[in-house]
Amino acid sequence: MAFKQELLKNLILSLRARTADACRFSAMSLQERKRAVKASADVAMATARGGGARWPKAILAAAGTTSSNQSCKVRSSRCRRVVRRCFREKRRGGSAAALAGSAAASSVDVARRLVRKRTMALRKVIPGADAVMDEASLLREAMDYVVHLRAQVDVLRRVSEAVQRSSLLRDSVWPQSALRGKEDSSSMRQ
Amino acid sequence: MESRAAGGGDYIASLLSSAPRLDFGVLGGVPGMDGAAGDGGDSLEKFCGDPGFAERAARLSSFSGQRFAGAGGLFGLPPPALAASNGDFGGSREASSVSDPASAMRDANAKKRKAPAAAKGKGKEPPCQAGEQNDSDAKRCKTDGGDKREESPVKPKAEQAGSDVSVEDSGQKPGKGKNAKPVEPPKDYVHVRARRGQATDSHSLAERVRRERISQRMKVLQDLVPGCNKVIGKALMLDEIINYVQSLQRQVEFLSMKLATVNPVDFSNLPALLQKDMFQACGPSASSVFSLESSNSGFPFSDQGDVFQSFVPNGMENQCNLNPLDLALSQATSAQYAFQDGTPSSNLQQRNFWEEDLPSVFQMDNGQSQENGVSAQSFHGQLQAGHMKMEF
Repeated sequence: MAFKQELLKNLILSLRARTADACRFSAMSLQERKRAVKASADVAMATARGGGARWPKAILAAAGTTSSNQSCKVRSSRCRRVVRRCFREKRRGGSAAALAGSAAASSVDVARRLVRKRTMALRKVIPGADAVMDEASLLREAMDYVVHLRAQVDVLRRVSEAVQRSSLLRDSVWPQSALRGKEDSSSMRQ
Repeated sequence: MESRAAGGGDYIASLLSSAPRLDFGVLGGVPGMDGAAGDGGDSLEKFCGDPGFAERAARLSSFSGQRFAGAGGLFGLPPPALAASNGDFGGSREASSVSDPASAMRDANAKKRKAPAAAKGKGKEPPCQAGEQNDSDAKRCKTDGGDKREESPVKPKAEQAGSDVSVEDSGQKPGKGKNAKPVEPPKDYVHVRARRGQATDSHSLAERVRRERISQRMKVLQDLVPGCNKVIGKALMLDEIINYVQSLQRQVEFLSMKLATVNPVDFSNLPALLQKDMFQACGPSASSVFSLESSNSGFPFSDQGDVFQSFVPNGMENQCNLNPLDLALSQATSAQYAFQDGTPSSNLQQRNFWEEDLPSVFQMDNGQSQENGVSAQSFHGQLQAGHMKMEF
């Protein structure tokens, strides 16, 4: 929970920093804004995590080197494509193993190949895990990343709900009657 | 799920160390080691200090000749395939690859080590553990029997006993006739008990330790990723994990898109809006977020003076609204925060927005509802209004 609070704080700060120039922010397209928000969320998550894992540094490095958020999106889409390709190959490999099924060695080899491909795919999905670590630490990074990613999703969900609620409140009609009453009392207080 | 998202590294450490295994709890990593070693190196560091290692190594070496015969023959992996993947797992288990003078041999070791890791899910070698894991290991050893495939010599750490090298080498050579790999200097410090019917040279033991570590982490991941319990097998598990991570990332994208649609763009009131959320989830400690907020928020407020000023009239209106709502809702929790936020006018903004948030509490499912804070709250609200009037 401490991580979530830290993440929320960082997120709010970074969002504020980004939206400080309100005009420019509103002028950005939805995609750009989404990218900005996502970058803020990722940076917030990475800084809240601290130095206990590898992926925060990768996220921060990526955010620092790229001036815009474009590359992040591109990278993630590229990763998705790569993973999809890996999965396609895996599926083909799996069906081939089922068809062949003859010698135990070949199926074992295929299985090993599958595992290797999936390990590579996992490396691509988890930031900062590319070909740096052995499998055990890769799994540990994955664990760490999953936990914090879940927290990030939760925090983002709460934030979006809260913002939506506040915008609904602002736009809703029911406060008007109460507002009129309150205005009288506040003017009387003066 | 809330409980799972506890403070990052500590949580992972607890996950890893909760299982009755080798001590993976040390997350700091050894500075002297490669980054690849990470926490793996720590557990090995522990073993390094064992004074009985030398005699154990001698014992192991005597066994290695016999044991390795079976292991060597199962090295069915073609070296090129291993070479391709060597880059991935090149960080030798205990990261000694950089410092070891026989780096070529080490690469070969890493390749061989990869093979068993990859096939871990398929033909599980009887793992050997340090003394803690006797029971489960014994069972597994019995089931797998002499199924010793790819007993790859493990690449241990940088500091090793050179005396072991020659002994182990001679023991391994006959067994590894089929392998193209030359003998590698065993630099293993893992103190694993040799099981009956297993290869007992230090390489295979360290290899088993490593495999055990991996399987332990896979189990932890299995608990983390929902729906992984039914899945058995490394490849399928990895598949599930990848899918889960990707789905989480997609959720982040979706939520950030949702946030991006907010109009007007005002993130200033978020602390207040979320105060209830966080408080609900985790108790009064949520207030610490907002005290931090106030301390850190110096610069954003200066930057977005325009936004704030445009927002203030809204704040005033809503604030006036909220007093009857306060009474109706009786949110003592918010009252606590109001007093905790301090009195300087720099906190005024936060308190304004916090007041504004109270109607949202209607929709929220707050478990607590205390009456005593209500009066204080309404008073505070009126005080706010007074401040607002004076300042603007």
